[in-house]
Amino acid sequence: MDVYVAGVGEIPCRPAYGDLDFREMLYTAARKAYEDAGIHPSEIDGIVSSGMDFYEGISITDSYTPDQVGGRLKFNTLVSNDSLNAFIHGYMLLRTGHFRNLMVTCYAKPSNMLNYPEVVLNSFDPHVVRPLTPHPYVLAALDARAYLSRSGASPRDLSLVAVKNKKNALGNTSAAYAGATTPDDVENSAPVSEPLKRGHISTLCDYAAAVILTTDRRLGRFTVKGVGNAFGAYSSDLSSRMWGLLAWVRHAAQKALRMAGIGKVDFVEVSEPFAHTELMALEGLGIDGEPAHKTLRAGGYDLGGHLPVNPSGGCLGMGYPLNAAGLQRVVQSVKAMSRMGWRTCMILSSDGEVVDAGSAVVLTSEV
Amino acid sequence: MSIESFYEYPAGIALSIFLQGLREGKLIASRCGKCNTSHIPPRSYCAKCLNPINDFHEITGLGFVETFTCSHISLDGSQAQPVTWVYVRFEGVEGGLLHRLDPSVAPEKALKVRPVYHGERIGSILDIKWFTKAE
Repeated sequence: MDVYVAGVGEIPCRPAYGDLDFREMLYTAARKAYEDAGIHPSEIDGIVSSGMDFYEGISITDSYTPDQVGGRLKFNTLVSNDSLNAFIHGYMLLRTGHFRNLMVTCYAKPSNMLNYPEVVLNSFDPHVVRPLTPHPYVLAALDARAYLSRSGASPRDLSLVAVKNKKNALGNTSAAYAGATTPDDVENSAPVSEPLKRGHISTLCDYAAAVILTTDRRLGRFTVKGVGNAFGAYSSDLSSRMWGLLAWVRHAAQKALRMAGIGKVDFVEVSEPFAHTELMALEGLGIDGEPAHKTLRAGGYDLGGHLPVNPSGGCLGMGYPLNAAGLQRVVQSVKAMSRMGWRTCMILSSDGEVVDAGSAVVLTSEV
Repeated sequence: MSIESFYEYPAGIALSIFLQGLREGKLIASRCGKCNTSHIPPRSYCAKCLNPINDFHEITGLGFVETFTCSHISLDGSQAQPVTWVYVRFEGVEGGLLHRLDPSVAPEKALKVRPVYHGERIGSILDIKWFTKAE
């Protein structure tokens, strides 16, 4: 049984939607998805939402979801993880045959959060990590340093990623942080936690997205050809962490590629809360045959390169919407395939800023 | 509106032994009786073979820096005086510890380090003042 993307909707990334409640943001995204799919909300059989109570500051997040997306009196569930993980849950539910159309939703409103670093710190072990009070960017920087050491890449490679993605975002009206910058601009930005400069870190953004999945081929516009998810080398006390590696990517991506029956894709969309995240994910993906930083330097990941990566601008160019980053990638992939004529893409998204776990999805424009 | 939430987290069997070790100025690891894997912080189960663990031992060897960063940001997001953070591993032991590095020491990968303890200890990761270069 094939599963298709019937329609997508989003509300553009912004530093803050001070005038909108998160339900109103999600309502806008859902309306756009229904319009894009050309179906009525009554034709949806259920809702799969991605949400994290500790990010949103409310409890039982899924009880806040159905009303504004057409989910009343229908199946409703929450995946407390990245929204690409929720997308895969929607895919699997459809494959059971119990549903015909499902909507996957997510939103992020970090502008509501007054102490983001402390909230993130709460996801770590209360005995051996939290008392030390590291800013979460410290943990990302430990990863970045280990990646550079392991791969032979340089801090300037992280700057090249930032420049590429911000430039790509110039063509994306949903992006909040597009810009024409230079590697020197990035390297002259404020040091945060070495080797990370401010320009290597995706800025948080408010965002909402909705994607309608279907098993009805007549409604399908893109096919979900493969999915994969893996928990990597990670534990909340950090003791299982293999610094500088995203161990989940190889397992999840290979599974998705095997399901899809392909070895290559036309482009990649990868959630990158930090510049090194993109390179670490590409190392794990391993479909390029070269160390990621060497392909980057040669322009291979540029829009005109042999494997464009984050043509949308990624999170560096669009903004990082926390757990909504995965569905942000799905929506941008669909937009890119429609606009650029590309036929296949790989979507990768981690289950958190510095977590070694995540999801991979292969989409094609063939139905 | 803000609603404060209060939690207490029992450390559990293995981590209580670890915290008690810190109070005594020792680093305690666990050892799996089935696959012989040692791990710090100690665990009451083996993540490799899921064997229950009740064997704990002191780490007497030096640690080494696997990765490090000099941070300029405090937890509230404001600019702060530089602090060097290290992730320390130990030969023959899986896992490791995040902590600060003695500010008088220049960080580098593979630097041999040892913990420096506070004089008064309470059974906390903060009983370690920082790691310093091992002579």
